[in-house]
Amino acid sequence: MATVETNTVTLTINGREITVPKGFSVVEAAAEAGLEIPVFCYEPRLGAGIGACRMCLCEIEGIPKLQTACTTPAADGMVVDSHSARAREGQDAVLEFLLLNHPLDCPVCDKGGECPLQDLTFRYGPGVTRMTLPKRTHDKPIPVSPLITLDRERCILCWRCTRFSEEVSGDMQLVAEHRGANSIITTFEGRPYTNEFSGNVTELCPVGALTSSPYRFLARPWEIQNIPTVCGACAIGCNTSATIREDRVTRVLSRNHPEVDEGWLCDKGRYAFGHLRSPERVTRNLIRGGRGLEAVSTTDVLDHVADRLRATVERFGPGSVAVLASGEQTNEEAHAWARLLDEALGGGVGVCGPEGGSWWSDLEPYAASISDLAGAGTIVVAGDADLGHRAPVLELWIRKAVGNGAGVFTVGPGATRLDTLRGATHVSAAPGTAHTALLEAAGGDGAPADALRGENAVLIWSGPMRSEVASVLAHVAHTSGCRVLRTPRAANEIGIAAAGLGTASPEAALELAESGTIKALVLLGADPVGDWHAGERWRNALARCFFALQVTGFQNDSSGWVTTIVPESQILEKDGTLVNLEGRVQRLRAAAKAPAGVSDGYAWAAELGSRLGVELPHDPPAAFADLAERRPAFAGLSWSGIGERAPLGERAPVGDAPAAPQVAPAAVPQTVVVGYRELMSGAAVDHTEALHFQRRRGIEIAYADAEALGVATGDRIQVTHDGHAVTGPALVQRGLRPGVVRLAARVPHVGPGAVAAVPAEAEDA
Amino acid sequence: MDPATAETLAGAVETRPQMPAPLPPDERSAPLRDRILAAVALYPEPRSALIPALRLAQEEYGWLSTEAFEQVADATGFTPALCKSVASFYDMYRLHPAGAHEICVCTNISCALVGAGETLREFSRELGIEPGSTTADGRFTLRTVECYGGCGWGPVVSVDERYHEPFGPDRVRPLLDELRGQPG
Repeated sequence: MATVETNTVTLTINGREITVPKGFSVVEAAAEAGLEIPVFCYEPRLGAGIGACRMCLCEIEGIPKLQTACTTPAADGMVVDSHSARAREGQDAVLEFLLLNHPLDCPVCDKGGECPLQDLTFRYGPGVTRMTLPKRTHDKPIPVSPLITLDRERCILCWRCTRFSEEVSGDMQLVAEHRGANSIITTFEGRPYTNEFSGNVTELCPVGALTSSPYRFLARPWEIQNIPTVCGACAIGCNTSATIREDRVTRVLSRNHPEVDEGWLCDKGRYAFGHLRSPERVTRNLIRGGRGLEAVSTTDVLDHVADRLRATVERFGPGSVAVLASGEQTNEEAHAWARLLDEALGGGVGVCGPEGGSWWSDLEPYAASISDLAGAGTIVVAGDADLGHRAPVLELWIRKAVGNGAGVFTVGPGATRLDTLRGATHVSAAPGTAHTALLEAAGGDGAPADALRGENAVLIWSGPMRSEVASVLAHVAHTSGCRVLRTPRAANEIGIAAAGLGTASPEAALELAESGTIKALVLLGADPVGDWHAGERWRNALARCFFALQVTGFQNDSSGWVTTIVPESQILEKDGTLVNLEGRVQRLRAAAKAPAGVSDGYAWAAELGSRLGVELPHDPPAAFADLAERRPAFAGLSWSGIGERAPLGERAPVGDAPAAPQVAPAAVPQTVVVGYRELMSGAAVDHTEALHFQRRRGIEIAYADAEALGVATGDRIQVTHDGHAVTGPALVQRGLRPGVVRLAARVPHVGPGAVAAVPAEAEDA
Repeated sequence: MDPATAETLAGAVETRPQMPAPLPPDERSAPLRDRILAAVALYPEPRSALIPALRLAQEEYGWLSTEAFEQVADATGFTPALCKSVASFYDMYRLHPAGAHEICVCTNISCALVGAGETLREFSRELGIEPGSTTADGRFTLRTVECYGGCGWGPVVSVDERYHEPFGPDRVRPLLDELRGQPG
């Protein structure tokens, strides 16, 4: 993307002389000069123009026929006129043709008011139709999936959606069938469009054909407000714009940050806002009393919490409180809690996420930026999980890089979508040993080692981070000169750690709680019993605590073991900052009003502070200034300086060589069960029903193992692992390493297990 | 000189992908998946093999059913949706079961000018069905198609994928009699 063009061409468009890099199309050249040539099918993010809609017809001197500006490369000395009488006539005629079968239903169309076709119809075309025959009609509306609705007669067959499906997300599920005027956009036999990037087609559609089902008939463009914010569904931090009507989020749109998301958004980020108004949301302060959980006022609960925390420190000494964050809190909230721990509670420990630890931060000197992928010569993705589940939009960046000639190596048990990319090389590694395989490959003299040593190599670890893995990554990065793109599990793990709330790993905190050093646990959005490793031990630790507070959006597995529950404001309701996986500090803007009874997370912590004798800054901007003063990671940053499209700070210099990695040889059992955390998981998705169809059902099993068991895709199999048994339909994967069974799980894990076919009769019984 | 590296007149060196050895003679008995994989191996781009792969599936089943698309997709590495998208573009793939004999009448402009409409109506009357449907006994399917490229000898009619041209209405009856006389 960022290649320096040495050759330029100079051409004249509408009488203006313009110099652009060689290879630009006339449409791009015009856009560069601020001249508009009308387009429907042309969309720079989808690649070169295809000239499908014909709207960009222009007159070019020396060429007798009108030319489509999006497919004509700008050439030296070219004289283009997009406003001449002949060009206008051509554009008007194209628009008249596009409208031949297009219904006049703008008043009831969701796109009305923000529709390129509507806008251009006002400025081009004859204004009246000469079409007296009946218009082509179709069944409508057609649910392409629970998230997307298709009104076929509005479609102008620009192929934006099918190009997205084929070239950008690569799912090839949304296609055109038949030919000419009979062409229709469809999925295979009406099956739902199940790709985690599917929602992007509703934004790409230049007419009202593909619309977002949850937004259908909810609002008009002149009744809404778009609040620029960022997504908190994963650590990429895609820039979004939340559409607000009457204090509610009605949809989430992408807000193209060319260095973070390029305008793409996954369906979790786009649709999971549905949980904000879920009837199951915790909206009352609850204290466990003699008759179970009792609702109390905010003042009472603050007094109660302050009293209990103070009592804990008095009885058990300083450092007896632990704060476990889910990783979705803002830097300001984390900062407030870190200061409370330090200044009022005598230390204590903070955990920045379910997989939190200092390991991701340790890799800071080698950190890659997301846009490094665009110019990468080689991308190495290592780990047990499909990267698409951990940081989905990264997959689109990798696809694009591969299109530009980057090489891809995948190291892991196989059968990820990245393995099927053109030219991808797969290095098979047993689950849990991807880092060993990586170390071996990088140290050898094979293709992966050369690739990692080559220019602009980016290494991505896709999976939970452990100290052993971190040492391997640091070693490989240091010795081969590649950069590491980090993929923490939760949105703001890096930021929370940098704000001082990442002083212990979950495992270390659990040991402190089990040994009795920690007597009070504060769960900030966290559900250690259900979502974290060693959930049962966490449950026992919670039960044995002197005081356990849960600040949460929804009741979960941990709620039964805490003494106090306080409602938590969600990402779209908060002001603050988040740090994404590159280390980019981005602004979060409160888009929606939290439901009645839910206090803002930062304000609540600040109130608690005043009760504990710590004067915290009164609002997030002041807290950020305080943070910038106290924490080196935020030094020099200012609240107003972040802006709508946050820049990336300077990289930390690479220090001395890290200690040589100590890799313990792991015995690989005959059958390894890999549980991975799928993208469509977590409380937000659990409480957004429209997203549930996107969950991957099925237990992935290698082809050879399936043959040995005599099962085919769809047959039921049972996996036993760690004392649990899971039954589900088999999904036979040709690319999966034999002996590996992979399934979605709440807590990622790798371990020995067994798999067996479930006889059909047993299922009926 | 290696035939795959021939020097052209312009002096450029043209390289072609090496063609694999031809299929063994009993290729028709090989499972559909193997035959498709053999077809995929003939092309530098798997996508190029979609047309022959769909053709093989149609030969196997007579038409392209949901299962046929799924099998082609599985063997070629594409999705059933893309396979159907390709198949539905072309006239010679059947998206619905056809009768024992498939009669296709070209109604594109050259044939239409020399009386394809008459031929089509005659077929329609003789068979008692509308174009695009199959007789109740499942013996004949009548379809209209776009240009077959036989514009100089229209009207063009294709019967079981063999061209008959020019095919005026007077040839309809003898043809149907002949086909009805055949077993099956």
